Amino acid sequence: MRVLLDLRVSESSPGPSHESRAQAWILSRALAQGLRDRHDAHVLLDGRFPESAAKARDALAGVLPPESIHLWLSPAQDGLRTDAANEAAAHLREAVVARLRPDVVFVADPGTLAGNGADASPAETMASAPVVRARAVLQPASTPEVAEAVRVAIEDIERASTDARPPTAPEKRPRLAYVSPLPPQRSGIADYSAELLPELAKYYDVELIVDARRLTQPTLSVNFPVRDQNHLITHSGDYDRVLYHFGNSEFHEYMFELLEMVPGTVVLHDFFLGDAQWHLEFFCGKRNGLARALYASHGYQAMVDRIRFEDLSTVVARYPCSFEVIRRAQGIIFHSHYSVALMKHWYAASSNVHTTLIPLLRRPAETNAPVSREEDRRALGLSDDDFLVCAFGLLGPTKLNDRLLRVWKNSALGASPRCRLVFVGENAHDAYGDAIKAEIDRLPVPNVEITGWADEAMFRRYLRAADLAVQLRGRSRGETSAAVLDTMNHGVATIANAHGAMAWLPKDSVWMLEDDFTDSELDDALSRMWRDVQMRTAMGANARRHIAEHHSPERCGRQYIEAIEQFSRCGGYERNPLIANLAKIAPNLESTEKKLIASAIAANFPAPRPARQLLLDVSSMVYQDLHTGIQRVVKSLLRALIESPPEGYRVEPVYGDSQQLGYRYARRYTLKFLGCPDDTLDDAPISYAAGDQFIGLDLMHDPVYFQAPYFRQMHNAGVRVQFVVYDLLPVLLKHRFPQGSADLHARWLRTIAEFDGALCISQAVAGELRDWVADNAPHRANELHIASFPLGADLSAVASKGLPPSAKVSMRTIAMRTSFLMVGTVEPRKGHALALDAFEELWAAGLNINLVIVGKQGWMVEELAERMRKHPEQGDRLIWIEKASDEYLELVYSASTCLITASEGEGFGLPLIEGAQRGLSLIARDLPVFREVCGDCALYFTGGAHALAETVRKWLDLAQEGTLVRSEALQYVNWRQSAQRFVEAALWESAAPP
Amino acid sequence: MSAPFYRAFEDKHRGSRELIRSRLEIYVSFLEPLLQQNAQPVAIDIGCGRGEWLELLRDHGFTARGVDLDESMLQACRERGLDAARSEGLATLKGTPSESLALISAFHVVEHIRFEELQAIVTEALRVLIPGGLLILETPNSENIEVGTSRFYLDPSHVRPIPQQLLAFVVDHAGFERHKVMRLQEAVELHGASPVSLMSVLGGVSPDYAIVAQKHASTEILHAHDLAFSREYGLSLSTLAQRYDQHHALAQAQLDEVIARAGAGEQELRKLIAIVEAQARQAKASVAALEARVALLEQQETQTLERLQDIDGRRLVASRASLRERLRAIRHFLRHPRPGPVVRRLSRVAKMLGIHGPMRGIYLRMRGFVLARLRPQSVQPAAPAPTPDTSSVPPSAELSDDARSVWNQLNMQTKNKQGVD
Repeated sequence: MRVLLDLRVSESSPGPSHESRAQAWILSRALAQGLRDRHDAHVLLDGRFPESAAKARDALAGVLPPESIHLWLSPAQDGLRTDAANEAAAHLREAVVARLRPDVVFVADPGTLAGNGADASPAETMASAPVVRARAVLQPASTPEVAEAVRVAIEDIERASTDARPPTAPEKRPRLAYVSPLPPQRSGIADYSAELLPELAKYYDVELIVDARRLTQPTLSVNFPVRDQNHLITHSGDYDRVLYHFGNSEFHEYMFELLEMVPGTVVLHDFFLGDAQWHLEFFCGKRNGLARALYASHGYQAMVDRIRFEDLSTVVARYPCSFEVIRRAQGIIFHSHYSVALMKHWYAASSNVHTTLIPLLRRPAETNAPVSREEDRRALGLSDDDFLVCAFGLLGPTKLNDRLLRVWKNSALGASPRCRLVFVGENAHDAYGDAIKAEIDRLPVPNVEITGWADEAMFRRYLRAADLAVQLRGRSRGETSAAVLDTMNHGVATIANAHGAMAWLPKDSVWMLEDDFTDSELDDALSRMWRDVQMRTAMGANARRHIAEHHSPERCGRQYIEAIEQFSRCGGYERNPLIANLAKIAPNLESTEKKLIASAIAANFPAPRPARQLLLDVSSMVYQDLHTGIQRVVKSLLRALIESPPEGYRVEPVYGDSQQLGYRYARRYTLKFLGCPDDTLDDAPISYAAGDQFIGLDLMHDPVYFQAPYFRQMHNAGVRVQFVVYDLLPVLLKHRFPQGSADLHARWLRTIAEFDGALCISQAVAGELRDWVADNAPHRANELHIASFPLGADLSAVASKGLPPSAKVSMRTIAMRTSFLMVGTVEPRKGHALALDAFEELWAAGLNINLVIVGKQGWMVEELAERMRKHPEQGDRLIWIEKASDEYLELVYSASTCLITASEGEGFGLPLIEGAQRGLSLIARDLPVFREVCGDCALYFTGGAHALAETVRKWLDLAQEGTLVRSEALQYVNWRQSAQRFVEAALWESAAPP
Repeated sequence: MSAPFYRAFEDKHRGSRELIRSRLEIYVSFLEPLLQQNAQPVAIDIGCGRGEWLELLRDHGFTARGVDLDESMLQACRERGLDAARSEGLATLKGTPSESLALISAFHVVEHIRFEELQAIVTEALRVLIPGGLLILETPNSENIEVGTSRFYLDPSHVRPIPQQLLAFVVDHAGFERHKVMRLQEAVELHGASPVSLMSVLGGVSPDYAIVAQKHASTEILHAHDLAFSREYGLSLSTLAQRYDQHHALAQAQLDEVIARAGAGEQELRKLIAIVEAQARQAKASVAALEARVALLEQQETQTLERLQDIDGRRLVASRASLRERLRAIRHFLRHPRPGPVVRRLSRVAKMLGIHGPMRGIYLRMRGFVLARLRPQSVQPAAPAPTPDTSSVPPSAELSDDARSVWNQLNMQTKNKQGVD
């Protein structure tokens, strides 16, 4: 028996005092312990207050397994003022409880436990399970009293379970709203619906919902009542079931909006819906419809492609854009295994969407009595020994009509006047169609023709009269071909190729060519079918039988009814009835309350998503792009990750600030970053679910500290929260940073140590972080996962251009002598003072070498800056370039010989790699991080100015000898590889199963 | 071990008659003095085998007698007309009168007998030999590593190897005057001073050796044998090992020389490369400086062009401004005509003539007409559209996408849908 303990205890709930809360905890824990042996015990906690929820979960972790502890998010209590709002909140709670399918619910809130008179919430009963309330307990309660209370509670529970109510059965025929194109609209789906409706009408009271603007009088209006979409929206409560037929054409445009409002079962005829979305944007005025559909289904890569490809039809052909439909559907019916495979491929994370496979319905053709067949043939001008080959369906490149024509021309059939090839369908209206027509006109023996649009009667006549049908598909997205089923249905021997859905046709009913068939194979098939009458008739009979068995209307209709009923019963769709209930009381809610309730529903009953999210925090860049080193790293990583996201994940940049809790999607910023127009999407608040990853890419002290409760909420919901650590320098080199930096940084480190993991940009930093955590947050020493990944160093393009007028003289001076270069902001820890001392020593000894410093003045270096500006060698052997564009910097690199890095501490050491890339040799301080980056490719020094001077002297000697350490051998990765390593480090699998 | 076995073994391993005969030639230098000194020298060969030695002795003029225990061997001897009897060596010697023999030989015998027997044979031999007589004992040389560790034991009847030093000591101790150690049967190719391989060191040393011991005699007699006794025979282990080492030392020295030369060459190259690199760097630096100058010049050029364009533009603006000014003046004048001196005089004249009113009317109508024509062009350019404030984040709702769709659904009942997007 499944027992659910609904614990309404939270840190900040009003009323109960601290002791009563503690009391409630003790009681709950004891109760859980008592129950878990005999029953399936589950606990429901309110996650609105993340810290207390985490504490509660930890408290219960020892007693119950983690899967039995459920968190849900209630709407903020202070936002609900009206009665309607409270009623809505109660409904929401009931739905959350019902989703867990308990047999008995045990409610424990501190009010009752403390015996504080009437309990705060209204009396409630739940339709699904009996509710037992905890009895009051005197407090403080000692252990035997607690045990007694537990025993009493368990008794109550077990007694309540016997009064379970049986579910009620439906009394009358359910009403079905049927949304589909209908005859006389020129769509294959319309004809299909015409055949399906009589079957559904056997079980349901069907009403047709049509697009009032396009179709006023469908043919079937005599049989079924016809309504328009507004009627469905306003009277959606009257219908028990809704069935949509979706396809990739303009006939379905009204259904997208309708499906947003009224969920129902969806029959997905085409998996690729890009053309319909395009149509919606350009002809129906849905603003940015295609862009939003691309983004919702496929993320930023699709947006980039949309801009990259000039021709929108390429984008539409490549991306299905069908997730919006899949998300809202209450169950999807596919017609082929191929589509199921496509869904697994494109939307891997949406495994909780229910699908089923129902073959395409085909009313069996009337028995092909020879008499009527002869009539048809005579009507078409054929004699008995003429051989009629037909290709059914709209002509186009995907139907491979050109190939059929070519093979026909070169084969024996093409030369024989007795054989005729007829394309039954409308010719394409583009260059392809013209080419076909020209080819047909050029034929030596005129036995090929195109019929143009064939209405049903002509279509069927050809079906009856044909001897052989050839249905080929290629270069398409592989979806269901209804025409081949028609030919099989009429017992016509068919040649098809194994493309997409057709590959699943039985081999004895159809001559199956390979997907990439050769012309000779097709020729062979045609000739053999022409000569062998027996094989044709046998194959045709098999085909007809197959259709009659598997595609019969009765069978398919029954499968439809079963599927629709099953979808309405099975779990995962509790949201829709809840919303339906709340819609009745919604008019009484204030607008803020409505928003709160809507957010709570969305948080607790999340809609399916196409893929898991990789949430990357880029807050600082959204507000103000300072072009700092860290921001350049973030940008490069972001670009690399968007171009190739990890398997099964979608990259979503997000941002937040220090004023308001909560994060938003940085959609506008990302679009601008990728070079797309940024007005197509809005920055909505984020939604997350278990399995997502959140990674703080940027370094922002205050916002992270401020948003810690929000991160905790995400963490409770199952999102893995990690941060990138660039360095611990403010903490390790306190004296080199302004006052207060160390504390700020330490606070930041303490905050991030409470979450799942830290990603460091070098192994040296990882080691430092481990040591720091062991000293300052020892309780996390074994829990925090610390990994490292190398930064990338692509040879970047020159971004900014422009040289100051002083460049002329400076460049000449630099080029004149051997120049030693230091690149980077002039800060205390970078060691510029030390280098200056060392070079003064060398100049005094008479060495004619330059010291070139490129970097603007930073903090805490006023004295050094003065010294440099007033130096006697300034302009001669000492050159300080304070502001250099990228172009200028490249020139300075070219003119210099050796790069000196004398920092007392660094996170990674990108300047070293940049120097090596440009052919400079390296002198670096002997630090573990530099050893990690350079290995043996640099000359190292330890100590102060004199040591550096000695090293420079040594460098000069080695240079003369020719035994310099070469820096060409420096190993580094590009940003693509860096992103790969980043992903590996971030998506680590926890060793023990949760 | 059975006789058939031994026979088969011998057949396999012994070597041909001719081969053995050729090997025995080496002792001839010892035999000649004996022949000179004695008219009818008598010799006994213990373990005579097929009688190759007996044949050689007979050919050189000895009276030779052989003893062996193998009947088939003796048969072979007898077939050749050699004097061979079936008898045991020591017993034969014991039965021989003292100082009767010039030569006693035992080839590859002593390794088959016990040590005590060997000592006894040597002692008896000393008794039996005439002064200056020779005792020859040939046996495998265990100094040869291959022989001493494996080849010796191929013959299961061998007891144990007898080192040279031991056999020498035995004959000395027994009382012989002097002895010579002859190393025998080495490969001819190994003679000389050419380098030898490791295998030769291990197995190329003379596989057999013989001790030739001489009984004391007068100085004259002994002197006759000095030549034979003074020669060096065969290849010792130390010789070969030394040759091997020398060869290697030489090879090593050559290698060291090559390395040293290469190292010196490398250093030279490095220096050259350093010079070339320094020049290349210099060139690159000069190029960079030049590029900087070029870039600066281009920048100046662009700036100059921009300034020129700016000036042009300003001039245009100015001229247009002056035009506009003039137009505005005209319009202003037309709207608020202030009569200049000419007009005042004209109007005075008109007043005098009395046609002031109609003239003024015509004038006003003309003015209105012109003003109307001017008005469309005098439309002021619209105020610039307020720049959209893109810097601030648009105040989108506080609902996530999912919550927004829920909100839409909740609002379905109300007629005024806020819109799906």
